[in-house]
Amino acid sequence: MPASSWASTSSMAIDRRRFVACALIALTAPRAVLAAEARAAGHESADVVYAAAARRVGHGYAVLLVSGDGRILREIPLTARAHDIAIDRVRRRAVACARRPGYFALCFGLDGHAEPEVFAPPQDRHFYGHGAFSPDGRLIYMTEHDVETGEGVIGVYDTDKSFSRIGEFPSYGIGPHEAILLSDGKTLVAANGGFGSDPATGRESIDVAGMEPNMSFIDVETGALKAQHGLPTGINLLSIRHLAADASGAVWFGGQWQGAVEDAPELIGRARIDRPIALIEPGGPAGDALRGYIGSVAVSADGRLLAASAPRAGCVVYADTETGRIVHEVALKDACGLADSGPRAFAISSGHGVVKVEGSADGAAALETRFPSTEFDNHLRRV
Amino acid sequence: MAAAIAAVLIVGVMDARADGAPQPKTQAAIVRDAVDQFVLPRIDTFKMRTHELASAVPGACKPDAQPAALAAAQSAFVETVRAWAPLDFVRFGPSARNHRLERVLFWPDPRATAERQLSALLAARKPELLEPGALATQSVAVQGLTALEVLLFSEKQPLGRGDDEAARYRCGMADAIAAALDTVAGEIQSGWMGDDGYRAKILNPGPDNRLYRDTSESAREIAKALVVGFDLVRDRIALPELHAVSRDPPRRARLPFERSRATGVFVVATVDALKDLYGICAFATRVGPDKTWMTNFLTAGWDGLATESRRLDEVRAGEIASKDHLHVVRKLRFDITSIRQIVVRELAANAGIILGFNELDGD
Repeated sequence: MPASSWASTSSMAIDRRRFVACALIALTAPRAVLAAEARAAGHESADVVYAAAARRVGHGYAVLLVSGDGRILREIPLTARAHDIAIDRVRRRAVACARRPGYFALCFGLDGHAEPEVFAPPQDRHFYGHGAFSPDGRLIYMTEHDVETGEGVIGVYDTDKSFSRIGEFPSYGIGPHEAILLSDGKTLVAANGGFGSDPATGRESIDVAGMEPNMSFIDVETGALKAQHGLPTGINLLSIRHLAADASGAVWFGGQWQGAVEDAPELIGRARIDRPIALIEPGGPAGDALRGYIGSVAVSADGRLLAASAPRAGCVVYADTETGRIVHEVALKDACGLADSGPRAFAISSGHGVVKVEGSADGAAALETRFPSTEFDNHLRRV
Repeated sequence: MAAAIAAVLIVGVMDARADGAPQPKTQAAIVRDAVDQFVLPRIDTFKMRTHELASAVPGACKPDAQPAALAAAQSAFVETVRAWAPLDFVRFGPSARNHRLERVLFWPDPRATAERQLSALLAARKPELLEPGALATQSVAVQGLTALEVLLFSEKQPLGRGDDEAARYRCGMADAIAAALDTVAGEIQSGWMGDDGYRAKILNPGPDNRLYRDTSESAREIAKALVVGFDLVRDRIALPELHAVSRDPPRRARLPFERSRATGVFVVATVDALKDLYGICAFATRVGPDKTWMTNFLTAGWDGLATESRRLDEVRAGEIASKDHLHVVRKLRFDITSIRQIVVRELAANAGIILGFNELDGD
């Protein structure tokens, strides 16, 4: 029987402070044990460890650190669903971002030493589920929604000062979802999905017909807009949501089509700061075959392959980042999370608890591991 | 043909026993029955109601119109709301094309976009916008029930009162919106029909079908519609209400169709339709032998939803955040969430309809 009492709580939107308290309590007990397990498992030196948000059947939501060979190295329970994990490789930390509309973010040390910290957006904001660390790890940029105006915002938090919010700048669009920092360390690219949601009505989209999605290239030092690329009116229902940069500096996106599936265009595209958006070359599975939804994108370590997951179609497609053509397709039910796992390799996680490490586009053997009672959420990050 | 008839007969035998006890259905039968017994009849009803609405609205604006004519138009509006509720969660097929869902019901509308844009149109009084079909080129916010409700239920400027230019334009705009709704309803209806219509597509999955490669995909579409309906009740009704009454001081939430006092009508019709679709899918027969407690739990949950949805208007009209008010809204959220969870994780899964975590609710 469902465990919760129907009279127990109110909506998440008003439970911000209560959530933070609960999250800290939940973290206190298992931290030391989990850290020991992580060390015992060789986690500190391992190069095949992944982080992901997940739902653990019977145990609620969590952040997991897992190994490619099927071990859960650490489990951090959460009282609400998280979305992406931002990784600070310099200071060996990660931030789990609550999913839209999100009211918390949780920072934890990857090696289990540091005290976890929870931070929240201001009262009139909510998180969209993604964040990006500055190169030195001192700042984290969070995609946010200004509830009053409906505009997108990038919130800036100082990680050295208990993640206090030290400023913000516009995302230059509505509904910023993922934001990534380019290799210059100064340019943030925000995927403005094009529509917002009202916290009072949960995740329902507002004014989809009026969508104007775009990719905005923003100077993080000044908050100024350096370049912005949108989509033609005919495909303005393609919500630009997830991003990855390739070796040449092109920024790829995976989109979510907000119209009827049969009308979906190609869902994958790319742009540069000085070049407008170009959709992927036709020839691979088209937008309708991918069921109108790309859940995440990643670029291989050598920068030559893009992977894009299509959970509703149960597959991942790979594209050559030079030619812009689909070169390979892998079937995996409810596949969504993607992380690079070598020069031409990816790890794929699924909502059915599978992590599949796919050799490459050339057909190398795949390693598939099932995590019982686990449903991996949208994103997977290599630690 | 003989094989097809035999298949139908076999399916029929599987669907019902002589003693009338419901039996599990195949995925193909779930899709067929959901389309033919749920979706299509309700689209026909909706089309009938929009036609009646488009006929009734001009009556309220005749020079010698009596108050009863406005009341008749308002009643036709409420019946259209009642007819749309079961279709609002069928978010695939012809409804999903050309912004038809939003052109019928623009919601959520947290910044009152429909009313603001409608006011701008009324102020501009462009005669060409009242021509047949012209409204379809305007913002979706001014084309449907959300905008028409503003005109039909205005207390300050009752429709049909006054014979100045502004009053006549308001009447013309109301006529145009009602006609636009009827047009959209007709497009949805015709989109399901014919050899190339959506009914043929969803009932005939296969390798050449770009939308549904096999029956599991079309069955997932039906099950997802049910889940979308659960989510809409939670997100549009229960959560905003809980959010508002839990604030300090408690506030009134803004729910759909408050101006026409049809919020309860909309919620009851939604909940009743969800139960109908749940019954057509025969999900209650999919309770596992080791979880027999679910049978009574589900019955109590559906009974609770019926009760709470029917009490919603009453408790919202009373003292805000009263014990009764909180009870009804919290219980509504609990029941809808519990049933959703059991349907997704147990009943649909036991019918072989696997709804992936990310597929169902990715971001």
